[in-house]
Amino acid sequence: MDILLIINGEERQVAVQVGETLLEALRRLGYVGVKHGCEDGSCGVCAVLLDGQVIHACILLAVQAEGHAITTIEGIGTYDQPHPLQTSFVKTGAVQCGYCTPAMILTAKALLDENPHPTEAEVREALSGVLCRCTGYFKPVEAILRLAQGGG
Amino acid sequence: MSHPYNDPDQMLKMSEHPDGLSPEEMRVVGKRVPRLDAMKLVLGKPAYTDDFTPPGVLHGKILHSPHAHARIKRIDVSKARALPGVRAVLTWQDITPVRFTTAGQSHPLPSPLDTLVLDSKVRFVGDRVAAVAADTPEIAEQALVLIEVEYELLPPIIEIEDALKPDAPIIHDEKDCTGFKGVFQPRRNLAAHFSAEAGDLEKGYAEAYRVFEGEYRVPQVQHVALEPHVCLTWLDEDNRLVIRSSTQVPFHVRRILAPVLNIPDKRIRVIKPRIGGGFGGKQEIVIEDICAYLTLITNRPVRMEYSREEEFIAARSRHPQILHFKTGVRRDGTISAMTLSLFATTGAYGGHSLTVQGNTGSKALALYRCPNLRFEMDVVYTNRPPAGAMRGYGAPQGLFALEVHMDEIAAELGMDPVEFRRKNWVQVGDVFALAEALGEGRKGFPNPLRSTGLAECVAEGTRRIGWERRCDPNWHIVPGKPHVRRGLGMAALIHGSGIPGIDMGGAYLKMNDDASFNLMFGATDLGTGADTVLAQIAAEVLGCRAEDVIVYAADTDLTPFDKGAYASSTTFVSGGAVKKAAEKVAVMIKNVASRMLETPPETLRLEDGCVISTNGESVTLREVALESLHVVDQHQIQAAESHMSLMYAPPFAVQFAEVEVDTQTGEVRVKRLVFGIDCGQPINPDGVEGQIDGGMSMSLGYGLSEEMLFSEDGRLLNGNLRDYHVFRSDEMPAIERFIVPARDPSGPFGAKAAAEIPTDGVAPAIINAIYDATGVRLRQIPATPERVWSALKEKG
Amino acid sequence: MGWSLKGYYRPRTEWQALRLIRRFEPHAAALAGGTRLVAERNPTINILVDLSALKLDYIEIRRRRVYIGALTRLQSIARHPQLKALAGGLLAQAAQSNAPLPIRNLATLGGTLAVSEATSELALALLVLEAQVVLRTSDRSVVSLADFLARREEYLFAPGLIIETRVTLPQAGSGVALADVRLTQGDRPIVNAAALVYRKGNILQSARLAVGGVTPVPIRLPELETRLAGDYLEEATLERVSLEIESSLNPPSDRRTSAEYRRAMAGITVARALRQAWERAKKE
Repeated sequence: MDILLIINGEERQVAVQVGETLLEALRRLGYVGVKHGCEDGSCGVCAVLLDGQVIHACILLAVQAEGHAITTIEGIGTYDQPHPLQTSFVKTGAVQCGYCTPAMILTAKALLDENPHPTEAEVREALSGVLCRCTGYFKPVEAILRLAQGGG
Repeated sequence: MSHPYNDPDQMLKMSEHPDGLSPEEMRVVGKRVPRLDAMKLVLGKPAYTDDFTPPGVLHGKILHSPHAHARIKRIDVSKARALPGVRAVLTWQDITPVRFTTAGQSHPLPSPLDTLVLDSKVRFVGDRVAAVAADTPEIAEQALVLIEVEYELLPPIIEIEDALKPDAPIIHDEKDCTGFKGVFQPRRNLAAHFSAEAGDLEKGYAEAYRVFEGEYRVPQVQHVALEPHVCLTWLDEDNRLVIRSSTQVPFHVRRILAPVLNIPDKRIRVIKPRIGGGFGGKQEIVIEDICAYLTLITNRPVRMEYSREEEFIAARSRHPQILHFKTGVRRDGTISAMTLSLFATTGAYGGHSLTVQGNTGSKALALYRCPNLRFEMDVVYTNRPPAGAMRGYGAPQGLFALEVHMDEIAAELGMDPVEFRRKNWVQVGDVFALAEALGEGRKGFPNPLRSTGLAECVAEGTRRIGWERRCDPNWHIVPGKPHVRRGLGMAALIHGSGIPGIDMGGAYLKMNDDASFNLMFGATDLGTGADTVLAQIAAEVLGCRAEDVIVYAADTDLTPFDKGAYASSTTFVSGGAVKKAAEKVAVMIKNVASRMLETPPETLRLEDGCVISTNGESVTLREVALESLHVVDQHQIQAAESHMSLMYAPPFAVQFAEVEVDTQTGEVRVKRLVFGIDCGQPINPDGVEGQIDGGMSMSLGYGLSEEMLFSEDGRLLNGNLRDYHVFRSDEMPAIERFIVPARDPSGPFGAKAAAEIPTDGVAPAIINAIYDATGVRLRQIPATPERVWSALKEKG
Repeated sequence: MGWSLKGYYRPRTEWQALRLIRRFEPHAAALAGGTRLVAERNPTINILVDLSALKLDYIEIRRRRVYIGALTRLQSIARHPQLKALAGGLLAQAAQSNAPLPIRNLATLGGTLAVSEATSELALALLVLEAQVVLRTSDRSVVSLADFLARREEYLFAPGLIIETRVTLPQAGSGVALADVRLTQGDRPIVNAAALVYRKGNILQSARLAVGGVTPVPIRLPELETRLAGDYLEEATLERVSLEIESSLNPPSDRRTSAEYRRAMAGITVARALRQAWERAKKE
């Protein structure tokens, strides 16, 4: 079926299968920053923002996303103008294999957009939807807090 | 002037700075240089294997066995083949049978050749039965359902102990499997049997004041890299097979697959893009062989990606072991004899069976001084998903058992756990008595220890954790929570920096017009930051910035050989090749500058993008580049080098843990972790810290929550990320980490390894802390609440 | 990985939704948040009836009555300022614990109750708050949550839809608490319990107790509640409570957790929830 997806502010008319997840549709459309790590919403690397809230794209059907604003990592920063979270992650050494990084950054963005000065516990609670096997979450949490406390 | 290959004297000069700078004076090495590839990853740019799919690609899927042990009596794929959109269906009848090992290791392969691409027998739930390539993943899945299989069920062996029973079914009863003589005994279900001895055990035990024994169990656990195994294969315009894969061992993949696919190595190219985590699970040919076969049959590009369920049931895992220590201790508290008997299973296939367990011995028996050592190991086949390389490679198992055992002895002797260890840990000059016998499948190289910062790590760590609180009975009680007890525990650790005499890596370096450099090496960054570390080493020698070094890596056509990312070898071995290549290039630069400045090369140094003479005159690197490429005596400033070390330069570390135990429920919560590492000179402190952070959290799971659980008929019961618990961000303890840089002469700029040692310590430290808190000593991990509760009840 | 679905409908009324489900049964499923449904990709389901247009996403509080529409996201409950403040914040806390953030942003209260995991914190909390569930089969009816949980399949396969959950918040002076035992701080509970206590001085006027992880769905403990009413609450009482629960329950064993451990932990978590609810009742 044909549906209208609004991805990073851009309207796209997309033909999708009914059973196609948003993850599958987005990757097919070239948004490869959205990652596949599991199929049941238990690892979190497929995180995207739906109307500004973080969700797992692997357990949302593309048709359910019709009409909602979808934000992927590609939509929040570029080489010329990276998002302050992207810069903070790089500077803090919070990127190792990088596979969960887009999900962490989008999660942090949703948090900071609503709560610009979260406590460490609030940051950790928000990030608990993203699994990471490389960093132990320590430097990513540091990168987020550094930004939040630096008034970025 | 050039470095001769593999001269031991030169190996010991690896730590020297070519311009004589001291570690404090270095400009790039030792600095927190941001990762050179981080921007593309935070921006979500296409970088991983599955981010580029050519048009017309087919999707490959595997039919996995529902039975743990069975023969395929009949397999009918006609309906699957007839499904529109299906381009190939393969069964064992379509494969030219060539037994190989999926373990990515150097030649001669130390793992048994016991695997076929597709076999007529299945040996674990998840084993391959058939493979399909189709136009879409959905069609491929539908085709799998249409494959009809008739199995003759065979009795499965699931528990380790059942494998050696006299009436046990033989899992590898095929005639054409091969392995090392005496080591590989498939008719007894032994994938590896080995023992080694040094000194005089009888005398050693006779000298002992007391002899202590303990048996310890560690579980089968999973890597859980966030990126599943994924691979893309295609035939290029020269009819060469190209494999782009999330692999840690591109060169081994090429060499091992050539006879399996029946095409010469030179017709195969393997490329490694960015990897989303490997941890050893990708030091393996998990899907490349079948994906390549499908490409060769269909002549089309084929993409295969594992689901998370397939990651659990059909990838690799860490060898579960039962370890038995027997240790003799003299009256003065020193160890007089030590025996480690090891019983493990490798699952249904024997990759890494000899070498992981061998490494258990060569790490666990190398931490404390003892001339009388015995090591024996039996690794059996069982009908479980195969084990393989997993971060630590035998050391997490061995150091768990060792460090709990040492703690038990200390408690029995009434000694402080730190003091007992201090009496016994290795010192500079010591030679590991079993070094020659435990050489990873061949003769090893007994070289003396030249550097250790363990004592300093322990001193600083005891201070930071507040070790003296152990002696305060009041501290163990938590105000307001009468059923909770606190405890402190520790573990001393040793690992390796590559395997002496086996691991080798090469590097090519060339200079461009703008004084940037192209650095090419076979070393495999899997998220470890290797690309950046190696660029830093080159930049330090060349007097430029790391960002001026353009890295291209891990392409079997364009980069020199590297054994790949394992054994904590990249900084130590591949870094050595990079340093040597950069030094050669530096010499060439100085020669050109010498002519330009009319001053002898010995008076020149490289600094800040310039060549500077002792009399203050200078030329820029850019001027040198243009001069050499275009103006006079034109030549390409370039170098090719490789490195292999015979030297023994293990990193050391100490892990401290503070825990709280709820004595009514058995729940264990880790409040603080302190980790001190002697990795020699840290090339990039952010990188070292990152390795520590990730290693500790992996070890937290090993100690408290991770365990593959099987039904009696061999099905994995918790093969998903809700039932298999990996630690999350909201349950991490507070941590501290610090570096004690005991530089080793044989490491580049004094560097040793940092990648695996952080996975070795949290599990034993937790067990020892639980003991301090409650008086109960578990000898098994994970220390689940029920296990702790049962132990507490038993104690009364 | 893909799910072969043939149809997707987004009806505007409850009646239309039920008609579609009935028309395509047993191959049709109601889609709320989808976090469980889409994760499972059951191959016998090939028609989805998306309920999101039914306007059931609301939280209304009138005096002490709370009305939560079935399609309200768990995160809305977790963040609701009044629900964070009233009744010791029990409902908000339970919603927060029930799932991590990305799941809470999609999962609905109706879906959570329809699935009703054995250790669902929300089910436990709502049980001790004596919640009611508004169901729509041919017409609307109201059943107690306890009844719904016990006969869940019967109600939902009628076919039926959960429309709303209703709760009367407890009076001032009551205390509420949740307690659990988990493998790690961040893992799902192995066994958990909820308690709501009314006290007068040192007398326990009444207690409502619920336990999860020992039966297929969370349950109340009516016999124990009756026996406790009017009792002094002391250490000895709590120990008795523990032992009684331990001996009265028959939980399953699995490869990781034995029945013996679950029984013992049921006793401990109920006693702990009871003690904490009691102490909180004091403060109010």
